Amino acid sequence: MSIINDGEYKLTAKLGNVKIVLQLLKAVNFKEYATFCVSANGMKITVEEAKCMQASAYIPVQLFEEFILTEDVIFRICLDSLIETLSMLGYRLYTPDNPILLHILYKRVGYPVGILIERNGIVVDCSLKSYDPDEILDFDLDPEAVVNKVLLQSELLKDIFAELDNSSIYLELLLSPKSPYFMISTKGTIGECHIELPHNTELIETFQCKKESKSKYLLKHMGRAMKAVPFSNKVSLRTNEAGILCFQYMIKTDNDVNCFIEYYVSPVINDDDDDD
Amino acid sequence: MKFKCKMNDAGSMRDFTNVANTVARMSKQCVLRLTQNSIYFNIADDSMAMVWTKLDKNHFFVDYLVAGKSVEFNEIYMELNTGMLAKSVTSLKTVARSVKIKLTNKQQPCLTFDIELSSISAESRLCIHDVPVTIIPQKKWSEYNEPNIERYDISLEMPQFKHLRSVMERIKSMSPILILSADTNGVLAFKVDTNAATITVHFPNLTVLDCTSNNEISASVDIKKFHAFLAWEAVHPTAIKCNILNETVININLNLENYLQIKYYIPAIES
Repeated sequence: MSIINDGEYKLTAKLGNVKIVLQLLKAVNFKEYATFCVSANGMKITVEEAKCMQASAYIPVQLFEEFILTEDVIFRICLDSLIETLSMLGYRLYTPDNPILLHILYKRVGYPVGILIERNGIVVDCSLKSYDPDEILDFDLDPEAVVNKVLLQSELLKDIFAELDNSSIYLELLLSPKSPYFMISTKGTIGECHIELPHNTELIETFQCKKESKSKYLLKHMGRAMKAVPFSNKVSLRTNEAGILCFQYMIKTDNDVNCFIEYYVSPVINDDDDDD
Repeated sequence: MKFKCKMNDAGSMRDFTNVANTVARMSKQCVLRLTQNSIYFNIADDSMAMVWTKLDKNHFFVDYLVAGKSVEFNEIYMELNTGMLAKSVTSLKTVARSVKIKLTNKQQPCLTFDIELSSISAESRLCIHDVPVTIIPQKKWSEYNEPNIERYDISLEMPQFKHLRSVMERIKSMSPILILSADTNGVLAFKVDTNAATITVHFPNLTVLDCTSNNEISASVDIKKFHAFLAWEAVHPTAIKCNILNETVININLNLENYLQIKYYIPAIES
């Protein structure tokens, strides 16, 4: 199957590894619609909720087998439908000799986004209505504005992620240059729970804390932001003065291409219901 | 009116159980039709007949006897609860040695299953299930007749179950309507339309068995009804055929070595 690009399409792209794309998309799929920004570097898929949580998945251009872009494009499509379509041919059975081919086509504003996937001759043709994109909030975490930064292997977060007390509404993150250094706390119906993480093990690559910061986040938001933990290799946590937290996950694919997922979470500032 | 038969082949008992279970999954009630050569399970849906399952008597049964009201109408039609039937025959799949099925009158007409269970000791155990039935009078038989469709616009083989299943599981919740279309090149296409997307799945290289026109033939059907047919995977059919009458009806024919035939009708709806 080949697509002839006669210049009519602003974007034609071809991919052989649907599995990783699905993982990336599912990790940011907490809303039905997503905004796709396509530039020469690749594709960035952003999902936002109420201007207080944002997730972006980056598919670098190296992951594509073919990538022709005449100019940068941006469109909003139904992410749920896209994920369903990509799952249709059973991606779990993915093997290099029996790949699922994915084509992405986009003409211009007002035209639908065409998705074609093929495997064993079976072709799924999906035409997704494109909408005008919403303005994407720039959380702007400049390197200078970063107060605390931790770079760790995702492995360390795996168990914590599985055992968080779901009855708690909030999750508190403490980062400090002195003891207890790195602590996650929840307060739910079964009581308070403090998880102290080591700050100087092999699993932690960098631990830069300029001063103590303690911020509260909605556990719901944190749960989403930790969705990428199971399949990522490394994660960096950064916070700024205002308490905005950024998770950046690095995912290595089989052919050594690095994909990224970023989550920005705003802190809960209203402390009225804090009964300390 | 008399009916009795016996099954003692493990394979037949397993197939019979699979049929009973699948019928129970599709509907609460079914009509059992007994003729001189075959027994049929019919499932009607909102008075529109849906499924005909035909079991060949020579393959399934020994000592098969059906005596109807008269020589002229030498058949028996009865309605029964599919759940009770399925529960009664569960043991046939694994532990039964043989089963006698007969029509009895115990306070009310019943289909009685005398199941001989295997046991470690020499004595065998007998387990009896009575499934209450309602005998259908001869004047109402015509309501349960198979639709008479002389010729379809196109007949072609169906894709493999595993491919159908992975696709159907995804699209069944997307839209209430499935548009099925087929052309003479042997491409069967499934299409759903939603607010956000239009998805079409093409299954190519299917053998076209018969067709009357060169145009593309299509029909829109209730997606839930179409999905329900996948339950028949349980009987491991050896051949599946799809017949379409343009914008009227879809008929799926499943066949297991000619001794078990399932005809599944899905009426088209306005799209």
